[in-house]
Amino acid sequence: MTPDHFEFTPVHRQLIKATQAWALRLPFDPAVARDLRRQIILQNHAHYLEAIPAYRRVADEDGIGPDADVETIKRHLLLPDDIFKSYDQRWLDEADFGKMNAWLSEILHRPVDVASDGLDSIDAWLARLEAGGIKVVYSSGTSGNFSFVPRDAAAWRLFRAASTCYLAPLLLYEKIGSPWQRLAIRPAVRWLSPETFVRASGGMGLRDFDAVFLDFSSGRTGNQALEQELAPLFRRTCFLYQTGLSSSLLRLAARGPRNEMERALLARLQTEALSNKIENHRRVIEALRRAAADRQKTFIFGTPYQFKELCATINDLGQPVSLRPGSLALFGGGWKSFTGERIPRDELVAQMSQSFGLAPERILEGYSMTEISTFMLRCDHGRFHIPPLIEPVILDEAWQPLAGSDVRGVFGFLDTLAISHPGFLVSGDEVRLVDGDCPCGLTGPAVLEIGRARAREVKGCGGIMASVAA
Amino acid sequence: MTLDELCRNDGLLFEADGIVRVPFLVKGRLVSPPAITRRDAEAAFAGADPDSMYATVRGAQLLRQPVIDRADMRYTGEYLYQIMPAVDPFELIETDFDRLASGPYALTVDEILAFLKAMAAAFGESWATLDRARTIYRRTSSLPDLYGDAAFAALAGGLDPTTAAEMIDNELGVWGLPGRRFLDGWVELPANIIPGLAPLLAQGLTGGPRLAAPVAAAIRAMPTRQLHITAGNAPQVPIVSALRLILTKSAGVIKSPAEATLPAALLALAAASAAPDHPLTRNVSLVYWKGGDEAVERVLFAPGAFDRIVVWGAPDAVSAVQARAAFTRVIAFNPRYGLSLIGQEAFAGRLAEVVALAAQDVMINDQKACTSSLIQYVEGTTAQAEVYAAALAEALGRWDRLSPPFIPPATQGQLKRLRRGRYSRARWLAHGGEGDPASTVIVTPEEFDILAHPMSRLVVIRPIAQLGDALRYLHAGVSMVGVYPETRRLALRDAIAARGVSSVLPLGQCERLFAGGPQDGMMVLSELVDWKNG
Repeated sequence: MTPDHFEFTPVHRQLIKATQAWALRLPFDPAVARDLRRQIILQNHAHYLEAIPAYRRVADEDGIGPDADVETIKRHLLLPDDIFKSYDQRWLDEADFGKMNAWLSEILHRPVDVASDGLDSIDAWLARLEAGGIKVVYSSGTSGNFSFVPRDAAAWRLFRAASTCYLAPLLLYEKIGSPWQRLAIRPAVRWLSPETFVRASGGMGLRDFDAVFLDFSSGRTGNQALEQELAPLFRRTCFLYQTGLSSSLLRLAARGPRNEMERALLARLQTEALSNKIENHRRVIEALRRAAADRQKTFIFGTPYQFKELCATINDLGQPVSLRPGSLALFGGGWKSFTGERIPRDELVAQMSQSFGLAPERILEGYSMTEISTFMLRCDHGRFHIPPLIEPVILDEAWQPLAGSDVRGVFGFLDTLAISHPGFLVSGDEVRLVDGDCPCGLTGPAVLEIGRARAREVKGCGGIMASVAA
Repeated sequence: MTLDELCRNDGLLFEADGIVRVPFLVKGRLVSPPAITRRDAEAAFAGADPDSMYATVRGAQLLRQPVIDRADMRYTGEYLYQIMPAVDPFELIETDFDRLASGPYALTVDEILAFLKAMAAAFGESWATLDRARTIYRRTSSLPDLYGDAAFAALAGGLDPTTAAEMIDNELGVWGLPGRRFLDGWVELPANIIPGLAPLLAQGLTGGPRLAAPVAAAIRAMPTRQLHITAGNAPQVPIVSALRLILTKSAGVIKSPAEATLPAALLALAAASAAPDHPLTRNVSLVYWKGGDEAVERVLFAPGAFDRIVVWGAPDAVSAVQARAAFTRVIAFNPRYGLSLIGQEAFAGRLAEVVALAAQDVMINDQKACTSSLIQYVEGTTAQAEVYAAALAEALGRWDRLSPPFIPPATQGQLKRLRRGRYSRARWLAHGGEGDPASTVIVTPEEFDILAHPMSRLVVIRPIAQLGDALRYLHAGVSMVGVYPETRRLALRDAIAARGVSSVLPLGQCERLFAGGPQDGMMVLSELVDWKNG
């Protein structure tokens, strides 16, 4: 597997075909899918050992070589998701992107040989990496410590193509698409190779939809990467914020400005996000009404907090929107730093249903993270189904894998699509995982409940320690 | 009645079917919990989170603690239930100042010391109960056996009258006089009295008061009403808190931490046995309630309920108490940590000796004390730091064999997260293995986030070019710095202390104490009394 030449490998192709069949509730053999998945996992393991220094270090410490089996990988080689923020924060504070490149080289399967001279911001660094063939998607924690997840061009193409191959049939099964599209999807999945399927899907698009993204119009967060992939499919798109999101500004917002210039920059972000909120909401509402007037269906995507805010404005204006039948809303990403604003799921769905004129089953929820290559959709029976492309691992407190068809623990996974960064990871989420047949027709592992893994409180004689660099 | 007899009469501090009944002392009255069966206790936790420790049922408080097999230091899957009485916060408050003034406040220091002697004697007569309490404590304690056993063995020693007298005399000593003088009553002082501006100006008034010789200055260390909210996982903490309350002849409440209810219960039993009618016993309460219980804390934190509130907790917890207890002085013991500075001199043939001393400072209360060494800055190259780390790892390995640790499953997971993630570039030297972890030493040139430190025998070694480079990491959150060698300690002592560190001691001596020494920048007894001017 050479880094810069993309094609589905034969085994990837087979697994994607199996996943498409699974998504459409066609005949699907979980054991076959598992074998294919594990072949890829073992290939990825051997590749990581050879090419990803951070992974090799961990393997070497435990004396694990290329012949390890999947169970050994689960026990000893799952890396925590904070491997993607294992750099020294001072490197970003001091704009030392040479050191950032060196760090990135440890979690990418080839050295990062992009020049770092003249770079004065995170955005500039990420842009130069992208120009050099390395696409980095980031997520920001509440502390402003960014996770940077790199993919080279081949890995990015694989991720996009596989997502299209799997999500299109999943959504077309009963949520989206014209009658002929729903008719056509089964033979398309049966007869077309994944590569051809991707080309055909791109050609068709969703031209009978307008899209609204409750987000900034550009940026490099995980959600923004997804939006940028989806946007060309629709007839028109509207973003809540008409400016791009600067990663440097986002970091400032979490860590605090250090001088007058940074204070001024932050003030501009706050103006856009907060002071112009109602104006932005009005523009979005206008876009929703325009789509309905044009007889276009609408797809709205955002975080729970953004939807709650928009619904509140619609409610205050006293004029609910009435979207065309077939429209969809999709939320995901959790409440994160807006945990204090959290409302129960049912309440949020009820507000969205009333504000947009959507039946509750047209309001979807997704579970994903920047570090994983798939998006898990919640079915009408409350399960976030995990596609066969991912092997979930649920761990106890001591990071030992748990067995069973209904277990609770920390969510880990083995990602078959992670071919340029380490894809055997432990997230910061605690979940309940069930495995079996679902009334929605899908089968296999699914997440039922999601929470943040409880932070362990270290209690010295004076109570809980604070975050201090030593 | 001896302590043993008190326990036998009411089935206190016996384990039966995984149930232990733990008494409180409420202003001198020994309060036993109601009878609760094992079935009742299990039912109280039915449907609760597996990590849930606390429940209430029929006038009782229940603490559920997982049992640890001391042979392999792992959870067995069973639980031990402590049954304690409910708490009525109104019963804990005292507002009859005249009763206090004629009661405990009027005691002499000699009478306090006699009280302590009687308590210590009560322990001495009741080794069976102490041993039983020690055995029960061991069942669920995360402290290694040697540490827990030592803490219980030292209970009586903590009440030593000679040491107590030194604490009083040194911590309350002012004007060159021993502290007991001020605690016993008013002390006239040879002070140069300044009458103030108004009396001087009054000399210009016709018919005004003539400036007369002033009454002699006199001051007194007045006892106070104290609430001690202890935290943490050291069994000594509630005992030290109670001792301070007794030594200041004060009335008040000691709240135990959940992990150390038994030592306070033993103290309650000793007081009820040795001196049930003593003014100190009749004005002290030793209790437990769940931290944050609004029904209790709303009453206890109300203005005027106490004169002093001692809080062991983070600044935000302290601020929360201060905001509610207006006009009450709040004394805070914030979470802090210790570290070590190792000079280049360690590599001049003294390495084995130095790492032995450094390991000692790591092992203070099994690395769970505010003074335990978590981070060690080693003056030298990375290669030298790695040599040091290897030697320290070996020294800690000997400690592991002497006193096997309990590393909770969550900490095992945390260590894996650190090793495979944020600190994967560090050099890791770990004892034990998968499923049987012990001490760990890591060498890293990068900064380490203290929040991530598990305080379970993990030492972070950071190579630095010169010891002065470590000064940037010192602040008021660092309680203790151990330094080697002595010449470097003396040279850096003021610079270290100026940055907020409370103790700057020789490497290997960071657990030492002396009667009358400061803690966290305070002469604690002096903070607990109210210095009066009369």
